[in-house]
Amino acid sequence: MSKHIFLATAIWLLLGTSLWAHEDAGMAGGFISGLTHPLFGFDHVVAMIAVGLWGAFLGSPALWILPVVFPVVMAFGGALGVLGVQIPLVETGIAASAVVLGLMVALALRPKIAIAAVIVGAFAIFHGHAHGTELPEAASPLAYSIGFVISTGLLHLAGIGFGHFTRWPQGILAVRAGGGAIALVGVGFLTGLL
Amino acid sequence: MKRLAGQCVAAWLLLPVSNLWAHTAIEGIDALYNGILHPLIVPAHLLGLLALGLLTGQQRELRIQRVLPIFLVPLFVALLYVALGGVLIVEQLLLLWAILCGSLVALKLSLPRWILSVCLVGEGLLIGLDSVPMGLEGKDRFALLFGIFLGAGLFLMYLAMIVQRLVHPWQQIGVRVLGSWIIASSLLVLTLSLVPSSG
Repeated sequence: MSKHIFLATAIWLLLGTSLWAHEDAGMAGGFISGLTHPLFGFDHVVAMIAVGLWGAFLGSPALWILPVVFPVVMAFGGALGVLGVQIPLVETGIAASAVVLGLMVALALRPKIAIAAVIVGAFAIFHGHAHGTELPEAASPLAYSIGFVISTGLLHLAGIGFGHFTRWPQGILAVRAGGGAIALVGVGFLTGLL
Repeated sequence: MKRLAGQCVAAWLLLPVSNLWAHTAIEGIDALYNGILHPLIVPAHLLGLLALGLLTGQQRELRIQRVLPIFLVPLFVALLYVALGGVLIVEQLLLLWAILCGSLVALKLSLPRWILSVCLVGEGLLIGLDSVPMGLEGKDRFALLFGIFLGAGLFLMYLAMIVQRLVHPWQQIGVRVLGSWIIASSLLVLTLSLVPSSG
């Protein structure tokens, strides 16, 4: 017990109350801006949840491979956006990601893990590029980039959490219905209805 | 284990995370404390230490106290070099190192001791060399650098110890996912450092 208290106290002291002493609107604003950017784009939200959902649906090792592949490739897409490299039809790619990934879950498709990783990675470039092009305008690009990576990961986690309902028979139906709903939302974005 | 995790989470949640990004020198606190917090508020240092801490913790058979000196000694040497006026620009190399260590975390390999040692030595050297105390002289300069030595060492040790105790499969998956976040963040920060700022 004393070891635990010591550890927790050490962590507290290490990150100390002096962190309260100073607020830099640029850094804090950039982090919050990055954190909320994926959340304020419904097309981003549904696609990120779909990645986690599909990973949980496919089971191990997809459960960790997909949430690992996506942020890394997304960052690559973000880097392209920062460097000003143009990628055509970014918004279409984002909407299509919701359609494809949602359908994968709705239809209970289980391709080989390598194929699943390639599909997820391909769409990640579009998402990353969309975030990356706004990065240089952010109040603090460094904090912004870390914020949206974290936010994306948390959305994956939400999808994985929902995907765990597949351990129950009704849960499988619920998860596949969720995938269908995500695909429909993607169609809405593709057609301009949303 | 659950109590430890709960305490750590509670300690973390009580902090305004956004203030971690305040700025490199925090006004109103002394140089030693600034130094202790420095590795946590410089993105390149934080990303590198996170990756290294996760990587070290993943090596379950390891005794942390045995490997910690492999990090601390090069860190000390590099800080001494900086204290005596040496300057080397290594921020981008530091970010590349974080990408390397983050990749090893994501892959969750059981590393031979020599590879982990290389990671520890490299990170220690790079953090030290990247810690040039701008505008500080005399006692404050040495106090800041000593604080960096303490802060980096403590952070690495505690993080590795916590990760070593994460035994459930879902926890280990979470560590791997964190590794990918570190890769992603480091890549973006590195890209930003290569792009000339406008205006």
